[in-house]
Amino acid sequence: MSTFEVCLHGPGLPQAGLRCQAFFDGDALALECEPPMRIDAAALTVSAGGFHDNALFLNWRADEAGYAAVVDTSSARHTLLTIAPQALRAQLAPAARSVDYQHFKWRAVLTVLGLVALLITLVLWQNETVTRWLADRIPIETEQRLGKTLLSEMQAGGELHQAGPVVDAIKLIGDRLTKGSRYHYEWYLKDDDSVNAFAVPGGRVIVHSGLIAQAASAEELAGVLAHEVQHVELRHSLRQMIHTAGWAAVLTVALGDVSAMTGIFVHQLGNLQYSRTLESEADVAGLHALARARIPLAGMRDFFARMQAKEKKDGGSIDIALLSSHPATSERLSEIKRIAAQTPCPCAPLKMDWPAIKSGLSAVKKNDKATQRATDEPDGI
Amino acid sequence: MLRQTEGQGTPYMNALKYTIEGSDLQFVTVQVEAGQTVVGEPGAMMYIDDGVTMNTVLGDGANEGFFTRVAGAFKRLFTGESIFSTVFTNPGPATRRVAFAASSPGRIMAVDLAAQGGALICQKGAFLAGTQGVRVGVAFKKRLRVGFFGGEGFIMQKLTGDGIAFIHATGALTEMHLAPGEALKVDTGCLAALQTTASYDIRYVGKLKNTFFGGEGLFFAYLQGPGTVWLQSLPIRRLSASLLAGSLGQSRSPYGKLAYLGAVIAFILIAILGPEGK
Repeated sequence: MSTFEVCLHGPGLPQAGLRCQAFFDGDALALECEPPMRIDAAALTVSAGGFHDNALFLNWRADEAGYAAVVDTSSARHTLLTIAPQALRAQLAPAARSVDYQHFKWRAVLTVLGLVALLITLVLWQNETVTRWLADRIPIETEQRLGKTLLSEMQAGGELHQAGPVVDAIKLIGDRLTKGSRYHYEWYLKDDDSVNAFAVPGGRVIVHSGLIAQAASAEELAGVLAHEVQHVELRHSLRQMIHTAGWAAVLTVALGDVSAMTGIFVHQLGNLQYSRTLESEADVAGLHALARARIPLAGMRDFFARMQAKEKKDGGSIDIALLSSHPATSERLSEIKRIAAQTPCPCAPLKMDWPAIKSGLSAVKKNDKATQRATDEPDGI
Repeated sequence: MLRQTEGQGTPYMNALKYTIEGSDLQFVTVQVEAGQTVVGEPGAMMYIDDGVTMNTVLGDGANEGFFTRVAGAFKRLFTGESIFSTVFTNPGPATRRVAFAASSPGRIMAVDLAAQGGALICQKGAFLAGTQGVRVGVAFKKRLRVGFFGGEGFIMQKLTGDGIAFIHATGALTEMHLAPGEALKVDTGCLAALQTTASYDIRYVGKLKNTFFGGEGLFFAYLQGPGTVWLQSLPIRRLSASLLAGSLGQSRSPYGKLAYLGAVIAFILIAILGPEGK
């Protein structure tokens, strides 16, 4: 005869109840307590409860007082449900169901909460992947429209040139670097003495005349261009925007509602600073692009290293804006060096007369007015 | 004049002599025998005799491995306790005293856990001090409605072990034994502790009038035997609400209440006369 443990509560019993073994003797519940008890199943009422909602109570009344045998362990509950006489089953079943139901309900709640927490963690952890995925959902035309709007805003600030020997040189190098790209690139020279170059979404690259003046060779210019072009190729501006503007905003753009968000994005793009991760991503991809275009890789490192040294030496005499957005930290330089050493490159120096091109800068300044007129035309950009 | 409750020893392992002193702002003085250890909440100590060593440990002061302790500390965090415990040991040979004071007006109660079946569920932050080996764990109330409306939240404290635990509650504290099936409707927040065999649910106060004007909120806590429950007369929320109202200098002007009464009468008149007017 199998028994199960109960905790007996009733008048005159200890506060914590009396633990004893119980079994069914025919249709009667028998308790091996001190003194032993025998209660007919017909007199028992079953209820479920307890603080944890996991206990079954076998209640009865004797001598005008209530008694309860509490079945509060799962093994005891299982035994009780197995050996209970037919007379008690009709009452036991709903009570046991209510215990199981509570258990199930709580499990379900915890599972849902856990899943939500997991989802949030996953999204936060895979932030980079999610933004990349979202950025890839934005059509190139949208990106180009964004870039166009941005460029027209910037045009107000300085002179952009789309023709001339310097632009030709930039275009020559740039086209070599971006061969086979899904973007249609446009190359601009901006009449600005600060050392800078940047790319706007959709494939427009702007090089400041100050950078041309500081570059010692065509390979150095190629290094900077290779880096900037990767910001376009890898859609860094979009990814950065998604980071700052939030995914919801970008979703509206992805769904085609450009006009509403363009203003905000353009404002953001103006003050866009890429994260360190994105910068080094552009470095790596840029070096590979250089290798593909068979342009010597040393130019990129040389240029950034020299600019860094220059700023330290006579800081302030020239405005190296490029360094504020591309800090040439020693880690970054050594990383560039390391990858450059690893990447095989059957490269030959660019066949360009760099000093002659640089001298073209002065010609550009003279022609400012003429070019300005050209870019003012609506289809100029 | 101090009201004193003296307790002494138990038939169980941790014999402990203690005195609970004070009437409404209480503290408990524990006579620590040579070699004996008591554990208290950080900051609860009031005084110790010179010679008692004090040691702050992670978790609840039970002797166990590091990871178990971290897990224990984590649990304590959720139950409104500090993650650390302060362990007071009397190196002997004389008996020395350690006193713990409650942090709010109310009662300190000594609970012999062995007499409660080895476990007791308390409201968050109830544990004040205890003999070494009293564990402070988490008791989840696995019912959404009780967690949200029961007044104690989802997480309560579960004290386990066979020692003596000192718990404190705000206001007066009363112990009630509920016979099997006997039930008690309690204002939410007044529940201080209960045995695991007691059921804890909520019941709607009933009637719209009660709901809106009764001042008891929407629900009662519904406690059903068998088991012992401890009720506190002044939940800390109620105390802080009246203190806040006092400090903000809420006026006792009757005009606000008059306007309220007028609105209520108007509402009732409309409710009664409305249908007949049609």
